[in-house]
Amino acid sequence: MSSRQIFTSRLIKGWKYQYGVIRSIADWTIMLYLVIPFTIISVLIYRSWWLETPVWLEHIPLIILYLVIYAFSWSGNIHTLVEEADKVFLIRDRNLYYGMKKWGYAFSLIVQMFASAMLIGLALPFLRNLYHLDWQEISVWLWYFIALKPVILYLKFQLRKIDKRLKKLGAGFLLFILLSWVSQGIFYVWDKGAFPFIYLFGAAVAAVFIFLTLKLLIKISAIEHEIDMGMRDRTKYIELIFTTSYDIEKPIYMPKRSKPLLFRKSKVVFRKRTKINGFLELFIKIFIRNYSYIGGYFQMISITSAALVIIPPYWIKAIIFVGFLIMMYSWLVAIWDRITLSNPIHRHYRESISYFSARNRAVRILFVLAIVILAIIMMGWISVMSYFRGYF
Amino acid sequence: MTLLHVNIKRSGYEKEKAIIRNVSFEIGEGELIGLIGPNGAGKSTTIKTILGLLENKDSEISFRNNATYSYIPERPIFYDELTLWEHLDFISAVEGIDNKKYKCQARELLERYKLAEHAHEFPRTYSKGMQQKAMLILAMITEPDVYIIDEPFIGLDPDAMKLFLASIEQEQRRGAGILMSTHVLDTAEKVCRRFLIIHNGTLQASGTLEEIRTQCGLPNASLYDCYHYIADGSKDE
Repeated sequence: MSSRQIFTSRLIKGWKYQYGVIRSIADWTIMLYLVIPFTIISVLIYRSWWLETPVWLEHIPLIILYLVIYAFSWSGNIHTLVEEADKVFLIRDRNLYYGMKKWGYAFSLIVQMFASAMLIGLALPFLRNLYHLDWQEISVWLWYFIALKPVILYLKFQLRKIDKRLKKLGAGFLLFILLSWVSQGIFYVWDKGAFPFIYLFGAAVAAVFIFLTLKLLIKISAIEHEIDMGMRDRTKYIELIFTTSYDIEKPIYMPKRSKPLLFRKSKVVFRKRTKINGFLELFIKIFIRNYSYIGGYFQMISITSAALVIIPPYWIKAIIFVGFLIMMYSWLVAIWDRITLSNPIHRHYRESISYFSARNRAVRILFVLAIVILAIIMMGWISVMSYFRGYF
Repeated sequence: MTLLHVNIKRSGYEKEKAIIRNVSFEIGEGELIGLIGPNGAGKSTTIKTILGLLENKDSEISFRNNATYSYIPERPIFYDELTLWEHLDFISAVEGIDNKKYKCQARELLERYKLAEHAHEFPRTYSKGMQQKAMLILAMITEPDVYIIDEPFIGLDPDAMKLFLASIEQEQRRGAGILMSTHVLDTAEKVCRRFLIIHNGTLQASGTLEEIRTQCGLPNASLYDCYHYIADGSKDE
């Protein structure tokens, strides 16, 4: 079997696995009722962007749109497709092992470059109709963001090796800011019309980082990290389902930290020790320490706020808001049950009155907090809009 | 005095497929009973039925009035996001244990099991032996009337095993009844007062070692010999 064949079979196996995960929660009817309306609405919204510039974008400067594309460019990862058993079997044939990883990298790079092109395509109606850029100017953007991909993939590959979450977040934030300064510099050069420089710079940077990544992939010492990354990539949809589904017992991936970041030395949240406070303390600590829960909470709020901003008619905004209230409440109830009942040893506690009193209290607090956060984000957005409206 | 009465007519994971049938026994105060049987015999199903974790069952499980129990599973289970101390804190809060008493008891148990230095760490990052010890501490903190322990010796080093045996002896003296499922027959023979030998989902022999020897027709045989006599005999049938 050649390295290409191993790569292809694993890639197909991976797709089948992810398809199976999706099918486990969504049968054909659900997919039909979700995917088709979603696709039609997306196409209609995109078409409306070509016909008329949305109000929420009218006063946004071009550099902001450029930086939004830059931020979205940070999505995606290198998939080496390394599996646990490779450290025993495939590693014996180094050429096969490296070959498979190189195919994995090439595939990831092509997919991500295509994703960059899609981003530009998505912004095209605004670039053409609102900012009146010509095709040559847009091509330079396309070239730069495609060339940026090998850099971002390399940096993210290195970042994923960092075990400590805080260190990883700090380093990631720093690199994001540093690269955004470089990108702002490129925007300045582009504004001055020095296109050949951007073409050359992009080509050189991409070549250097592709070379560095290939060198990195040869290192055999990184196998544990690559297995870990493979595992996380494989379980990403399961984790997504986990955050929204009631029936799955445990998060698939947990950080390796041995001590908590918040409430170190097992500090208590409530001084007064009652049964209700005991349940609340358990729930609060698990909720804020598990990224699946806290991330899911803020994800729901942020997606709703984005939808409230982007989707134009007020009646749809009202439906989205009501939907958010229902979703958030039922999600919080489900999460409470999952957290407190995740340990089968303690399941018999669900029969106690304190359990239900604590549940009502916790759900109520987090529900009201979600509405307050959503309101703050919306007010912040309105302030930003009025600032730009006044400025330009 | 009986702490736990068990009468399982049939129980299993699927409605139509019973894994265990006709398993009956009682646990009295200060009694340590060994639940013995090969892999797949039905030991874990028996335990899960007692704990009420199986839906497809026809059984009578009754604890003495207000009797409490602690379950120590074969594979330690923790809340991934809580430290060991926070686990102790949670259990003591919901069980309504006095704050001062629990803290004092928790410190003593942590010291005894050499986990005091790791009390503020997540148990999921512990070694297997440490996790097993943590489970024991979490079970002991509530001073239950009944212990249900599944394969306690896996992962314990000789020191921890000695400590564990000393702890359960102490709990027996306090009056706690213990049901312990195990494969470590020589240790079980030394510490258990009575045995339940399960094979192919049914109770094949029960009682003291002497009674089991009589049931097997093997005078002076060890528990190991009786166990193999039952397991091999069933195979031959």
